[in-house]
Amino acid sequence: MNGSPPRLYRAAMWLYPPSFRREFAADLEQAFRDLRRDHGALSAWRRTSVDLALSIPTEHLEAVMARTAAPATKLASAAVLAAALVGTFIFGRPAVWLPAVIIAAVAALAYRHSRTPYREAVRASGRLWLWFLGAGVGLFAVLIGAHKVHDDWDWFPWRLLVVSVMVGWALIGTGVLLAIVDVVNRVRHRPADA
Amino acid sequence: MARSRPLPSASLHIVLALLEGEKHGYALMGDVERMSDGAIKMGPGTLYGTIKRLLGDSLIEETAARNDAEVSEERRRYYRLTAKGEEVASAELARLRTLVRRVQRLRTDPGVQPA
Repeated sequence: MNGSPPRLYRAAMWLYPPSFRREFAADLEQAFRDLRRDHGALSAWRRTSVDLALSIPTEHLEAVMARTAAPATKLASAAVLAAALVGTFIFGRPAVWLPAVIIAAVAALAYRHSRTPYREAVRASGRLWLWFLGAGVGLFAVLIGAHKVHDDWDWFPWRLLVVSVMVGWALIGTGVLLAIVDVVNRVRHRPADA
Repeated sequence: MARSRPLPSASLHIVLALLEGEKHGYALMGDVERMSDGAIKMGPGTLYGTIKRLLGDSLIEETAARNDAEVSEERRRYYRLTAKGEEVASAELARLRTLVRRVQRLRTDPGVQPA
């Protein structure tokens, strides 16, 4: 009974979030083997099926909640916020951009006092610049594609077009900045013998 | 006091089981079941989800992994309480003792107001 690998349980483990699987897959499987050895397959599965039904959604919920504070989210929200601010400042009226400035100031203060400031988010970003560049270029590709299909911009709400272009430039700009930071970090932390 | 909120049931039982000393995951599962007279039967996902949260809260820490020859040939990860974890476990025990004492007083003398 103990010899055969618990294939079905191993397959069910794929339903856990990747971070949880990476950390505990071997332990989960070991605990399942132990349960099966000590209590028999039927009893082990009775306990484990209830456990899977409860723990998989719980772990996913926790993973989603943890992800909201991830560096990528912070940097992306900063880029989009900056683009929206610049857009409203250039094209909007004081009634539009003044609340945006106040909201941005409050957000900046909140981030300044948050546990993961932008400095650390940038430092932890690694190859994130590829995603930003890709997202910016992708956005421009969509806009150009839409233009080719429709031949003129009249159908497109111009304010949305302006915001899209600003967001595209903000994403590309953030990508370039992050790439510079990444290159500088790599050069500074290169081993002496490399 | 390190923590004012009571621990969730699974976390509480694991922390109390670790008061005896370091243990691996499956041993914790068995101890929690025995401690609760079979009322709490954890599965692997709940066990390691709870362990993950306790590690995140720095209430427990991993000790060196080792082979447990009595149980199997596989390497197992052992966990023990941190200083903060011991403090929280003591606080939880005190809270439970107070709760039981107050409920007993209420049952013997229903006129007593809960403090």
